[in-house]
Amino acid sequence: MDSNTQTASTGLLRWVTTTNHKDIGTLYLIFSFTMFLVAGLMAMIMRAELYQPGEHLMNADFYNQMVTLHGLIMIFGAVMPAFTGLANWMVPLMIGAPDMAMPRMNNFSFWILPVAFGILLSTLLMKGSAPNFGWTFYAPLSVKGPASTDYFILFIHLSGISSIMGAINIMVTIMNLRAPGMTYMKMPIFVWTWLITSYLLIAVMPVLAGVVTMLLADRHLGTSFFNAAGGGDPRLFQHIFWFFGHPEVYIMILPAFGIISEVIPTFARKKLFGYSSMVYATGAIAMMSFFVWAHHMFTSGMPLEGALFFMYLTMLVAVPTGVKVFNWVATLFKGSLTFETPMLFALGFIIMFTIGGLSGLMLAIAPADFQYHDSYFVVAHFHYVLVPGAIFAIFSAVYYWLPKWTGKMYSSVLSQTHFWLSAISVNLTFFPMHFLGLAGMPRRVPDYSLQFVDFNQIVSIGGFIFGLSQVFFLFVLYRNVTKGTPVGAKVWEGAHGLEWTVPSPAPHHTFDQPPLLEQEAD
Amino acid sequence: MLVSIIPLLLGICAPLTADASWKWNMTEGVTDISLEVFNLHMRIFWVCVVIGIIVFSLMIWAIIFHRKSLGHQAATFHENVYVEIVWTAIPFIILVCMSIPATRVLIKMEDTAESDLTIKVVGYQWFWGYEYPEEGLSYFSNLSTPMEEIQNKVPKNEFYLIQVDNPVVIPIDKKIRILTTAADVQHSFWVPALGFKKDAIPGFINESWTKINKPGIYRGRCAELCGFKHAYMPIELHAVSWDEYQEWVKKMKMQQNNI
Amino acid sequence: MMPHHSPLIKRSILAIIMMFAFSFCMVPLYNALCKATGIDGKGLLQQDSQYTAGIDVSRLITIEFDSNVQPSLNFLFYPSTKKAKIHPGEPYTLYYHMNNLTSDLKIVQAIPSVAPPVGSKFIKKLECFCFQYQDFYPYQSLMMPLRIVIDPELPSYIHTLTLSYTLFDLSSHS
Repeated sequence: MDSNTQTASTGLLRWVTTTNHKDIGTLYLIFSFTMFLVAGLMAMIMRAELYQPGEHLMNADFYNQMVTLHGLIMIFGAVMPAFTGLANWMVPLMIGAPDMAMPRMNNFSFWILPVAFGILLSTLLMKGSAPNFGWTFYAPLSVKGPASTDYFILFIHLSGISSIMGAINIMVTIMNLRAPGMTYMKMPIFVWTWLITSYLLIAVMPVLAGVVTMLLADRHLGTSFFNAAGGGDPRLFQHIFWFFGHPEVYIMILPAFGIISEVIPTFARKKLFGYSSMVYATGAIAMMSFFVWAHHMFTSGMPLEGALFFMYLTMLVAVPTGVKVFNWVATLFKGSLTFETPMLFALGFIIMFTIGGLSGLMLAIAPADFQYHDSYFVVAHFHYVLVPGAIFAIFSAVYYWLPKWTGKMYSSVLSQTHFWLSAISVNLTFFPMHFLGLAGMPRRVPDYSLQFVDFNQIVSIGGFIFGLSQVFFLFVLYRNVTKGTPVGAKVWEGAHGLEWTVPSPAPHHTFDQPPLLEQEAD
Repeated sequence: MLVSIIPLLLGICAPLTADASWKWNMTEGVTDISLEVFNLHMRIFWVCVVIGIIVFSLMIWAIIFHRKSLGHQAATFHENVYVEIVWTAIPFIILVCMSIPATRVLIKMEDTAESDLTIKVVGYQWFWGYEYPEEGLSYFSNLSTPMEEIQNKVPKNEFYLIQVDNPVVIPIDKKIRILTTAADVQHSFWVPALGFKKDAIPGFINESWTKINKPGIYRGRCAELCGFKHAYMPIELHAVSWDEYQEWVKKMKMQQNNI
Repeated sequence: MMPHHSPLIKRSILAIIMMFAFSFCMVPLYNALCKATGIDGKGLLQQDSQYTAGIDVSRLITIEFDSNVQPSLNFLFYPSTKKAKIHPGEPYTLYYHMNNLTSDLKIVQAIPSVAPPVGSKFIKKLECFCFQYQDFYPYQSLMMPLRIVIDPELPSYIHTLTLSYTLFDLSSHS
């Protein structure tokens, strides 16, 4: 047992040089939660300014910097690294592999991130402003952007390299290192969703690298990719960006779907309904995601045929997504349900991601989108799918697998408090945004006219409560590590899967020999 | 969970209070198109509400009645091809039904029949320029809310941030062709009462059309992040009778020639 | 028996390089698609000086001429006619006044755009000042000719076209 807990180095150096998937998973998760709090603080700053009309705490330019950095850090620093951390921890355990396919590249993938985000955050201290053009950095606004824009471009390249390397690693691990007998259609769904996500990452992160390089060229090399003067077109920027941007949002949700598909069967004590459909639906969503990008551009001046094409295809994506939701509900139905914290977050996900998905369906209707686009209705939609969507799935995963990582069970009272505080405040924060958008409030504004005051105040209060609830989560974790009660290998009664066959906490090295898979009754 | 119902109920109850600031739905607007867009919006909204009710009811049923604590034993079914085909086909059919009226409205918006008047809207950082090529008129429209209000030194007036010095004036009951472009970065021209939004892109010209049925003052905003004062370049549109429009043109021309 | 990862890794890296290249290929692809379908008015920068067509007297198309100047450029730029009604196939000539109001040497180019976008396929330019950079001495004023013909193939549902030019300052690009 001792050789299993021994690591190559000790102390701080262990964490810098580790090639162990569990250590690297932990690093990713701690990093992502830190970035979540940093970007969350920026959101609190924005909501403080938006509590009332008028310029109070900051000027409009600083507000725009907060908007931009909040988006960039949440997407590239919180959500994506969290899912990568979960993949690192759980994929080798779930497929019976001793580690990731390329452990040293794994270390490098992680350690690029603190450097990249250090550079991004340092732009706040640079002369001129930090990036202030929104996370979507449309040209020509970004071409004319402040000096820090070039550092923003460097940041994108660095975090892109990290994501690409992580994706290759995860993909090769899943394709090559499954235990004998684990065919593709016997893999846990979380592994499937990460396999498909890794394909998406490999396909579209290079496109982001391309568009950001074009931006650099327009800024400094005299090219005119996005400048009409030289024969370019600002709309070209939007096409290339959203060709990346739309698959990117599926990159941020497919692993969440995988997590929910693991958690629900455990706490419903019932097999996932329609395993094959879930796999095919995920694949269908991923493939269709490449053909819908221009639904972000309906108002840019699009010919009728283009608008119709993108409208129909965007509406079509609702079909496989709906299939997944129905399958989860069918798993719950006639199960034997208990409501531990992971299940609470998973149930919250199903309800609130569905609300976000339905508002997405409304956005797909192109003529109606002319009224919704660039308003708070869009902000409501994507926050619903990302916060009580992706983030709740991440919390569900953490509460689900934390006892496996630490060997201790957390307080159910504390964790359920975290859930209820989060669930109530997340609705207070984001539901009224639908109304604000419909009433005519545009996005990315630090100030607004008087008819929007009341809902903005509810949103801000909800936001502050939500923010505090996440700080409370730190306390839940702290209590788990210091005062949690020890648990055995199979933490949850209804849990199935290879990860529940190893001791808790999981030994430093697992599955040095591939496991023998039990024959599962059909 | 059920908690998401609470803000929904709050919002629905809001119109019951007489407070006009609790505006919670899209405007029906003042054009035929804006009304059709509103109807599309309400139609897809109700479809979503029904889908939500069905899905959430099943979930809530399971949460209440299929608990382990009530002694409920888990069933073992985990696939059913027929059910899956049905719940794939039915949403598909619903979507096809939704896409038909949506297609119709989109085609109507493409209507390029002769218009009575063309105006050109130019987005600048951070104000709008309006041109009436046939009248030889062109002027700028700036936010007219006083700085003291923005800086909270004096109370804000009723039209805080949605008032301008020179509004754009359009005759009612005439088909107006609106050309949009920009002088520097991307902006977007959005007046909810007209039922559409169109991006203003530097170096390119976009066209839209509108026909306003009801005289009045309609306010809108720039809807594409364009820098520092993106929130401070509103649109104030006065829809007036043809005669009032002619009067206004005469007055503006005199002003223009005097400068 | 350790599985070999290199084949998969090599294929992934190839995919990454191809997708990076694809993002750059999107540039000419976009221009080609726009030209072919007429979307976005990309066909307008070419000169069709040899174009001839029969005049279609059954249709009268309203064509509006628009001009825009980049705010930082102190130039007067406006068409001699704002609006005309012409038959498809009938050549039409107008002039754009261009006046350098500064005391500097300026290099400018006018970039065209058409509404509705599909119209760009059907406006043939026999002679246009937009095809080349224009040098302007301080305070120089020129009348630049524009000869166009509307292709009779213009779809029947189009009655009004707007041809818009934006004048850009390219002096720093010499």
